[in-house]
Amino acid sequence: MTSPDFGRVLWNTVIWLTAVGVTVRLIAGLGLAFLLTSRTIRKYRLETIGRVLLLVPWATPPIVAILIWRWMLDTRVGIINGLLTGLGIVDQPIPFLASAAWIWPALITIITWNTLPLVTLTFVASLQSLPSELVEAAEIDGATRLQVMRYIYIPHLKPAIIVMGLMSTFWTFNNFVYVWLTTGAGPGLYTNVMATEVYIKAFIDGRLGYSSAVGVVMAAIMAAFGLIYLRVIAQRELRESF
Amino acid sequence: MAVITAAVPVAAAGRRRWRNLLGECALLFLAFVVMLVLVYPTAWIFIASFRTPETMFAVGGWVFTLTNYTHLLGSGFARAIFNSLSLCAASVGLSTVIAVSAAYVFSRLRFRGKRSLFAAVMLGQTFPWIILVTPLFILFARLGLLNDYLGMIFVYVSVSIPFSIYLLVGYLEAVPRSLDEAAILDGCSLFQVLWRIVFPIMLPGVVATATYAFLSWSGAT
Repeated sequence: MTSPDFGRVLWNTVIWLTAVGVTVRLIAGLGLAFLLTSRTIRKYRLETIGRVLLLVPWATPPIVAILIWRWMLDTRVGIINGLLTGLGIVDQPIPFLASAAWIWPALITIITWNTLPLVTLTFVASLQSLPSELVEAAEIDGATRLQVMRYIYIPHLKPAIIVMGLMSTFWTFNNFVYVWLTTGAGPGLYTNVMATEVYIKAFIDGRLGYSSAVGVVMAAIMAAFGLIYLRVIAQRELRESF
Repeated sequence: MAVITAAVPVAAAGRRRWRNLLGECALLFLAFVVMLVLVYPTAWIFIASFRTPETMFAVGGWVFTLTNYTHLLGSGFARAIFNSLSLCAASVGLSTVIAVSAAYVFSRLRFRGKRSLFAAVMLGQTFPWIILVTPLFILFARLGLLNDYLGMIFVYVSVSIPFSIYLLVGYLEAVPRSLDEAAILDGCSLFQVLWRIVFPIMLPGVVATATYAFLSWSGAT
């Protein structure tokens, strides 16, 4: 439990997978939600098609998404390396899934792509419940865009951001599929996270006790987040009955 | 003099219109790129399913073929789809019935220990299910449920219920309580209130929840 390996696993899970992953997802989701509800998109009546296309990554099962992205990120036949070398941005194809520098950004890209729709749709729904008179009134009063964002949009979106942030945290922290199927915790054990550690220790190394200990640590960390979550939803959803 | 004062606002308005148009173009381009990134991978695999292996990664001149699909259907994949769908329908149906009943109880009734019970269910969402794999494996081996549909349905339903309940409680809070009360006054039992009055009203919410359960199922194995 106190081995340096476990420090790496903890760092991977908490910092890379959860903290960076969830932040990227929330920011990308917010950006996309603002884009989809922007005046220009509404003016050209692109909302519906935008929303339908947004559902495509969501309807793609993780296993399929991972396979496609692994092809796309491939050094020889991958479209991304093809584009980068074709445009002359890089000379050599980047081994996204084999180099220590690129593996985490690549993984987070895949997870974000697959999970973005749910986050974005939640924010879009929240943005639509904001009366447009509020924004118009603020603009007539001479508020700058930054002020409108700071004092109208962000406070309105805050509950949605908090709930989505917490839920994404659980889903990502506990997720086994993405890391396991994309990299198999590799190269070596470089991207090993807690969920894959539990699996590897139990089913490959046969050390059930150690695996259970890792599991208990995971459950303890999540329980702390769970209590925060509970406070938030108890206030929001069951206000009357509690 | 009069000409100059008139000309300045016109020029400014013209410039502003140009800048707006430029902004719109940039925004549309950005939207196009984002949508391309969102759709491209899935579209690619869809097109790839009609390609021959030799021309899989060819840039131009790939050969259209249906052999992938004929092989697929020939190899008993239809059977696999049927298995998947029936498993899925059973799971989603069961989890929806349980979640709707539980959500109704949490939303409407008052009883001792409700708060802790609700907390326990909600904390179920945060629980890392990967650590359940080992104990479940042993449990199912003892019960003889390994490689059995029943075992899979059981696991799937229990994993999906907490989030379904969370969603449904949210929808239920939007259904007016006076409806329930009116139905009870008219002599409905609790069960009738739920399935005859409340359920039809919250059907959109139920469908949304079931859709979520269905989609999460596709990745649950």
